[in-house]
Amino acid sequence: MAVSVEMQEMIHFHLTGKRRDSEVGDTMPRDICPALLAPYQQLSKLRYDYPLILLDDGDSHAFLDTLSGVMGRLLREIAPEGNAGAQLRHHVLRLETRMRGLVADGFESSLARLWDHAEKSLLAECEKSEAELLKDSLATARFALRLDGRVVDCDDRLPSLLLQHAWANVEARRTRKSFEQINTLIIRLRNILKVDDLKSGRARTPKRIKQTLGRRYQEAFDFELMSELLNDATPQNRLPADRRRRVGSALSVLESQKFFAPGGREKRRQDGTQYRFDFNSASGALKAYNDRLPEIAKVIKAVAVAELECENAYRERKHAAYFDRFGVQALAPADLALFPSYLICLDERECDLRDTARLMEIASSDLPMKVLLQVSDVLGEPASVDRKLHHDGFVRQLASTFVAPGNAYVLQSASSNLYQKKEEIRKGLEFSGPAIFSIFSGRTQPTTGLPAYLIAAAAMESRVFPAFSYDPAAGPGLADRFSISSNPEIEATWPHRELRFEDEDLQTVTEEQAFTLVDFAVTDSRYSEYFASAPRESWNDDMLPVADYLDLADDETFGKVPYVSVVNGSNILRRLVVDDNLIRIARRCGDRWRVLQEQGGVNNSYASALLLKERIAWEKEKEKQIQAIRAEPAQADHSQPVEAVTVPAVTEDAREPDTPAEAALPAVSDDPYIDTPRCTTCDECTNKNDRMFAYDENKQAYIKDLDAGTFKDLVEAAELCQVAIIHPGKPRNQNEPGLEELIKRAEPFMA
Amino acid sequence: MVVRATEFLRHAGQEEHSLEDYAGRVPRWCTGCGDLAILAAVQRVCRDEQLPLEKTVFVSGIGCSSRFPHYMGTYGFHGLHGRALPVAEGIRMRRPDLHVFVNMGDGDCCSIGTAHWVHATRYNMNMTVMMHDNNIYGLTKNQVSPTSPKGTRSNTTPRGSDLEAFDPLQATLGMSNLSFVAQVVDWIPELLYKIISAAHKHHGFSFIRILQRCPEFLEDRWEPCIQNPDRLLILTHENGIELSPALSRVYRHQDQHDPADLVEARRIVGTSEHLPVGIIYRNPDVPCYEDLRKPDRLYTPALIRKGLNEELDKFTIWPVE
Repeated sequence: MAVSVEMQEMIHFHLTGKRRDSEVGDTMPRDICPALLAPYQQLSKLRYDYPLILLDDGDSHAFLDTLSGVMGRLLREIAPEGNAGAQLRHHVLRLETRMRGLVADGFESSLARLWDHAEKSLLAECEKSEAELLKDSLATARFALRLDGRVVDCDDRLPSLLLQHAWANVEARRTRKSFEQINTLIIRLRNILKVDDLKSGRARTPKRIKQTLGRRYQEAFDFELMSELLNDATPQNRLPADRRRRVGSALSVLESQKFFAPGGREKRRQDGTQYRFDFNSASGALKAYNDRLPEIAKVIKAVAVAELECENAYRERKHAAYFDRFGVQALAPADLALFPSYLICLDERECDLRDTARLMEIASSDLPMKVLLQVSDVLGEPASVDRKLHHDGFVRQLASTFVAPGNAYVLQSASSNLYQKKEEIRKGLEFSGPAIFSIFSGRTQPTTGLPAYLIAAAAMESRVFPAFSYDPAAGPGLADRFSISSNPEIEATWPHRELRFEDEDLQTVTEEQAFTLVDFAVTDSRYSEYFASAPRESWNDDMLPVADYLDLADDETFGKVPYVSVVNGSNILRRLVVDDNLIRIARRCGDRWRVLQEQGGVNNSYASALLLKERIAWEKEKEKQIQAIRAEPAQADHSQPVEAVTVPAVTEDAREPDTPAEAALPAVSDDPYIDTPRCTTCDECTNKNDRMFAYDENKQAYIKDLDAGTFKDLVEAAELCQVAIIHPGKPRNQNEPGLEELIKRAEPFMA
Repeated sequence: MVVRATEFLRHAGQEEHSLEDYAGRVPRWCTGCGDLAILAAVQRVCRDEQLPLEKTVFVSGIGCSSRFPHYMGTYGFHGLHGRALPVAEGIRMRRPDLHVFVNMGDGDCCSIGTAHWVHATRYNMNMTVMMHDNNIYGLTKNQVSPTSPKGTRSNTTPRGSDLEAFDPLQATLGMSNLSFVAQVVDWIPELLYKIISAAHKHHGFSFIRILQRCPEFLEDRWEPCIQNPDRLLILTHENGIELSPALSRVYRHQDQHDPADLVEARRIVGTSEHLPVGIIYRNPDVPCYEDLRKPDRLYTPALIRKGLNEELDKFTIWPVE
């Protein structure tokens, strides 16, 4: 079959990337958009996860919310269902749309200010009568709005803003307890020294006594005389010098520590009374950490000494040797976990090999480092003139390499998915060891003009920047720790979405299309040279969607060209032929996704091989059984002797009882005894004869010495015992007076 | 902030406390009094849990049972009639690090102290509360108490009391924020020990009604139950208490009761012909008042001074400059 000229042109472009001066092969127009993303281009008209609100309340676990979530809850709270609340809902949602639009236009502020600004601009557009109604509705809603925080959109700054906010939230809660405990210890140590001071002569000098009395009565007393009198009565039991020195030393360390502070941290950092814990380089954070270790050891030692001193449990003889040797080497991970963690915000574009090595060092350690690795350009620059795409943007997916050491918390996600990942972010920040957050901001430069949110979502959707998390604290196995569940259609190589459009006859057509790396590359104008426009009249059956083309074996691709569906600025559906170099990158992207699938337990090759092996064995076994059944004669052959069923002989010892064995009943004895566990400590028997009866370590009675009393004592004690647990037994001395009557009295207690 | 070194050294230097360490003065209760059994069980719990002597406090009101703190080797507060709970709440609020136990009699708790009892239950502060219920005022020599059975002859009711006895269990199961309710008798030491131990381990207001003998003024009150173990209904459950095989042989009348089931708890207490013994209700999820009211910051002397000055400044008349 003859190949049309247009098709030949397309094949040439696909294979060589060279164009001719014909309609086929026009470069990609700038206003182009992947067809599957077309419905979402006007994001500010849609309700979705952005903008986000970085909540102010530092005490709460909830550090993040969405504008749509806040407004939705607000409406559920204040707007009645049905028509009654329709107007209120309409007005509040109108305000929300305006707020979203303002944020998209770059308005930066708190939620409260954004609300005011949006309300003002809405009211300015309304007629007077409508404005009154709108004002009322918004006043009602505003009254019910009980939270505030910075409003942020999905852009280049988002990852660092969000991580810093979440880290500050987690750290504030985590270190608050440590700070309070240190402060409590400071107060208690001061009290110890204060009491000692009050016992000293210094506290009783005329000057000090005068100060304590106040100005009003100063003329009424002779302070010199009062000092003499008080000094005579001064208690002598002062603190030993060693203890006073120890308490003073611990107090001094705790008072001067720079790790914990109350609110207003920023001011304290500026005046140098508190350390900074946020850094822009891994080297800087590591250096600060190592430099501060001796000081951490000092604080830990001071806390331990202070705690023991406050409880008066410090024993010089036992503890001094330990504390003399206490240093950095004695610090345990649990001790270090009490101190603030370090936040390192890095931009992947500025990371060199040295930084990468430092990050690997952190990932392999148990240091409390939290690293944000912001990725802003996930595809990277396209190849140079020689058009050999020897590298691709996947080198920027460093996160997966940090999983290898196995002890760092690792999270990779696109910005678009951050709200969904807020719990995982919190977990990572609360994790005692290192945590690495690799976040694609969605700001690929230069783009075809799509919002950063859409670019980020497309990166995740196309498997270019898939989401995954690795949590070492989640369990011992990879299945517990590694998850790719946030990605769409994790079973498939590429996720599929419905594309709806109108054909030439204005009929709605629905097609299912895969979203691949090639679709994502369409959003990056640097890659426009890898696409060539295919005019409508040249479309034919040998043009295959990229995902279908990627599924073909090499020898099946002859005569075919891959294409990607896009829409132009007028929303007209078009096809772009794809350069083979880009197809190769897409293939590699699919391979990388399959590796992640395996790690995440999806389509795992080991499991599949095992399953296949088991299935083959099972099939063989079944086949054998079928053969055996077929080989048997139709009727059972009764001439063959039936194999005797052997039952192992059951011995008396081995026989299992039908019911749980009952505990052995106490034998009725001729010797006297007390059912001690039932003794109620009523003192009756011990009062009767405290040499014969005594209490055991549980303060329950037993017969201590039978020779210390008579049978009469036993019988009378049995009669006195309110819970009747004393059993007098048989008399030992047959010559005891009144024995006959005593035996009769003892009978009720002999059971 | 738990520093490993402190914990290690504290543990290494810890002294083992014996039962005698928890004993205070020699008890002056009547011979045969059920209070002695309760005292022995409590001392066993303290010893087995190795509660630090200096971190344990017993609070009581007035009555025979309220002599309890004197007989413990720990801290104690012998308070006013019916006012044990407010004192204990104050201690708990100010010193959450202490183990707080409360001993009240039936008159102390169910008569003059009822309002405090109702609200202490609702506040659900973490403490172990034992109501020693002997059905009589013993310390003041034989007057009816709210829990005395109808017809009880006493110095105040020589012809027998006219009213039906007040049921503390039914009352407490109707209170808000209920957290832990148990009933036990003083004459089964194993159960007494297990229930006091479970109550102490429960984080919240653990109320135990302990039916106790008074050999002086109501000698025969519990005799039928002592002589006939089948008159008791022992409530066992894997989430409650389990009986030893030896005790199971004596007390055969048992019922599997999940302490989480409040409706069933009310049914058992309200309708059972037998005397229910065991953990009747337990809900560990009810928040404790001291946890809810935990200050959000440390009240340092400087902070207190600042707050006081701010308050005083509101009433200061500043001179015109």
